Amino acid sequence: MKKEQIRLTESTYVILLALYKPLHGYGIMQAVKEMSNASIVIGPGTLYGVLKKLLKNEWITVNIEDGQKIYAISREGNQVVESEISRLKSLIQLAKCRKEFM
Amino acid sequence: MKKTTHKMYFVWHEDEEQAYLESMAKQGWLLSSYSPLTYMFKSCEPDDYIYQFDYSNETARHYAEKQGFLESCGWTFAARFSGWRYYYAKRNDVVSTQLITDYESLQMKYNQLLKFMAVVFVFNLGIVGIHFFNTLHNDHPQHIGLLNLALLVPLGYAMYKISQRMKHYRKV
Repeated sequence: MKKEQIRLTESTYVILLALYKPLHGYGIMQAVKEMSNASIVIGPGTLYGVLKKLLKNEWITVNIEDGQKIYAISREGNQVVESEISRLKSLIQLAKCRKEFM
Repeated sequence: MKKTTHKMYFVWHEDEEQAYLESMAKQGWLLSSYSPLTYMFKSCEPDDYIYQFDYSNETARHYAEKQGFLESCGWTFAARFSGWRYYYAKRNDVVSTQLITDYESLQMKYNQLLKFMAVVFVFNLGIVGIHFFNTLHNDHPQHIGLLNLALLVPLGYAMYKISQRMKHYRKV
């Protein structure tokens, strides 16, 4: 998939952001809730599916420490997040063309 | 201590079934197993528990990984009926009170359920067709096909209700 075509879902985006610090499953949910001031909450069923997809895309890596799976963002995942941020920035920029949002 | 109750909730009564199980937990009863129309409970300290349902067509062996993940996030697996799974957790012990919080995962859950029902529906329709054909070409009408015909009605209704539920979530 070409990077410019990638559009992340809200869940995928926030999970990738949380994984700039290596975390286990429960830790990811806590981190997302904390960094969004509880405005975004990820359920474990959703998290499980997203992690599986991210691992398949190799956007994250997994290590086993003390019998626990610890996930972290990969270099490729980092590039995807950066391109998503610039896409979002250009969307915000678009709004600034209207004086109501300046 | 154990307790057994008999209740009828259809697949489109998810919210009602959840409310029932949560009210039982407030009275000190946690679900320990389920079979059609029969809920078995074990006693617990009365508390504010939440129940959630997951559905998967995967075999138990393949599903075990997901179950392990949900359990590591604070949920307890309570019971299973076919691919339908019951989980509970204390409200204050979990980060999210819902297992699924995005539309894509929800769609996957209900699509798997619809796929299973569609297979049963087509299978039954086939049997009804065969019996209808046999009745036409035979002096003795074969009533057993009526049973399959009768099953098609609630099955079709369940599929309709689940599609409606998916539509509702898409709008939310």
